Amino acid sequence: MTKSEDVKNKFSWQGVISMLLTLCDETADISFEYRTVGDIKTPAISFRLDQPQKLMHCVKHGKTKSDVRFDIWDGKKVYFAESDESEGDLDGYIIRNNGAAGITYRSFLEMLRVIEQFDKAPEFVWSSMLLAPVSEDEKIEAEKENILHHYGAIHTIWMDGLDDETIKDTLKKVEPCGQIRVQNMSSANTWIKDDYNDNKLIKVL
Amino acid sequence: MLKQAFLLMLRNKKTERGVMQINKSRKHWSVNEAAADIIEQKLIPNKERLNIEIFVLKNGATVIDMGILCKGGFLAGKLFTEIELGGLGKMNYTMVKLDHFHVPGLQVISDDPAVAEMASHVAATKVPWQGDIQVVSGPVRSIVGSDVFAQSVEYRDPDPRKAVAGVQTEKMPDEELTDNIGKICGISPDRLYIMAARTGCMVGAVQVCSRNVEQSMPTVCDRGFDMDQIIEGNAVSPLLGIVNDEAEAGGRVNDCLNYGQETNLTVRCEDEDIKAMLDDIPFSKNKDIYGTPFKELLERCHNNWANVPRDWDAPCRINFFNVVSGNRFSTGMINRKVLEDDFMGKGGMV
Repeated sequence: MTKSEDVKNKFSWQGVISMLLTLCDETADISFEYRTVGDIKTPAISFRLDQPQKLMHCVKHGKTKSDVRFDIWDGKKVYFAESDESEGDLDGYIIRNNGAAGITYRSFLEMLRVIEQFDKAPEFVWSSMLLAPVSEDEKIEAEKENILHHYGAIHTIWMDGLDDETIKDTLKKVEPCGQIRVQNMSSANTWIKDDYNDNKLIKVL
Repeated sequence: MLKQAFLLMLRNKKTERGVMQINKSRKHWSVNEAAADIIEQKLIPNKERLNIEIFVLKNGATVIDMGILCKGGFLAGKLFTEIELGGLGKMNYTMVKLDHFHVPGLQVISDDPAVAEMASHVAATKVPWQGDIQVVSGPVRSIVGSDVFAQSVEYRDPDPRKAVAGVQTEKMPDEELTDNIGKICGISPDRLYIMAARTGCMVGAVQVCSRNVEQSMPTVCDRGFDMDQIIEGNAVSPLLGIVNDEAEAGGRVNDCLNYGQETNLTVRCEDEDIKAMLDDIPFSKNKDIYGTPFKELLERCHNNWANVPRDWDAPCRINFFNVVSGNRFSTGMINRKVLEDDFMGKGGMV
C-alpha cells in the first residue's frame, strides 16, 4: 500500500510524524516545537526515543529499476519521488526530496547518524532538530539543512553502564552534530561536546 | 455599582465551573474509570513498546512495573502522569532554556485542577507497608477522600469499575501494600491497578517533575484558598535527575520543582485573597536554606520525607491570573544555577 506524504501537497508537514512513528514502531515521542535563533522563531522537531537500540543501523538504502531512491526500515519503505505518478507501483511512503516531509525525515536520519557512532546503544535519546526552510533549489536546501544539523541540533543522550572516561573518549570521536550532551546515568554526570552557533545559523536562515 | 453587580454575579456563578461543571455537564466523570481506560487501551496492549511489565498478585491486584525492574521511558512517563490526572489533563515534553543550556522539560495542563490534582494526582494518602509508610497518589484517593487534600474538594468517585494508584518506590508492590490501599481507599484489591516506579529512572523523574501544578495547589490550599476558585492550571518544569542513584535522583527531581517549576493558575476571586498569601507561598521564602540543593536538605532530614518541613515542599514560582479583575500576581523565582549544577553534575565540556 502506498502513502504519499507530501507529493500532492508538497509543502505540508502533515503526516510526517505518523510516518516516523510507524517507521520506529511507535517507540518514540515526537513533537514539533520552535527554538529562537537570533530573533527568528525557527521551527524544530524533537525526537524522544525509548528504544534507540532497535533503530541503530536499521535503515538500508536502495534504488528501484526506474532509478527511484528508497530507504527500507524493517520492511517499511520510504521512496524519494518528485511526483505521485508512479504511486501505484511503489509499496511504501513517498516523499519529495525537498519538501517538508523530506526535511523532517532527514532530521530523523541525522539523529540516527549521531547515535550510531556510539559502540553501546543509549538508553534514551532526545534530539531537538531545527528544520530548514523548504527551497525549490535542492542544493540551497541541502546547504541550509547541513548547517542547521551541524550547528543547531541539540542531542541529549542517556547512557548507562559506562564510566565517564569511556563516554568522554566516545564523545571526542563523534563527528560535528551541533551540541551533544551525554548524561551518564551511572555517575550522574553530563559530558558535553560542541555548541550551537547562532551566527552560522542566522546566515543560512 | 454596575461593577459590584458584575462581581457578585461572577462569585455566584463560581460553582458552575470546576467540580460542579463536571457533575452537570458530564453527569459524573469518574477519574478512576478514565484512568483505567488509559491503562487498558494504551498501556497494557503496548507494554513491550513502553518497556514496562504487568502482573497480577494473589489478591487480584494488577501491578504495573514502570520503573522498578523495568526501564520505562518517555512514553510510559507521560502515560503515568496522564493516568494520575484521571483523564482531566495532558502532559507534553518541551525544552526549557536556562542560562547556558536548553534542557529537557515538560508541561502539564489541567482543565479541572481541583479534581485532577487535589482529588487525584496529589501524592498524599499514607499507607502502612513493611513497617514503614508508603505515600500513594492517583485517582484511588478520590473514592472516599482518603487524605486531607482529597478532602479539600467535594468531588468523590464512589464505586468505580476499577481504581488506579501510583507509588514512588524501589520495592515491588505486593499483597500487603495493595490490601492496605484497598482498606484505606475503599476498594477491593482485585479492582486495583497500581503503577510503580523508583525515582532514579525515566518514569520516576517524569512523574515527579510533572508534579508542578500538583505542588502548587496544596500549597495554596494550606493558606485557605478555595480550590474551586481555581479554574485552570498549567505549569512547566525542567526534567533533570534521570540517574540511577536514588538519593541523587530524589534531590534533583525536587530541585526541578522547588527551583525550576513555574505554575500558572487561572482563578476567580478577590485580588485581596491572592495578595494575602503571595509572600508565604514560594520556596524562596525559606531564606535560611534557599539555594541549597534538595539532596542536601533531604540528608539533613535523615533522607526521610516524613521529616521534611511542610514549607520545604513549596513551588518555585506561581503566576495567578484573576479572571474577575484581569490582574496578574506573581511570586517566587527560578534558580537557574541550582538547575544547571544538577544538569551537569561533576561533568563538563569534552
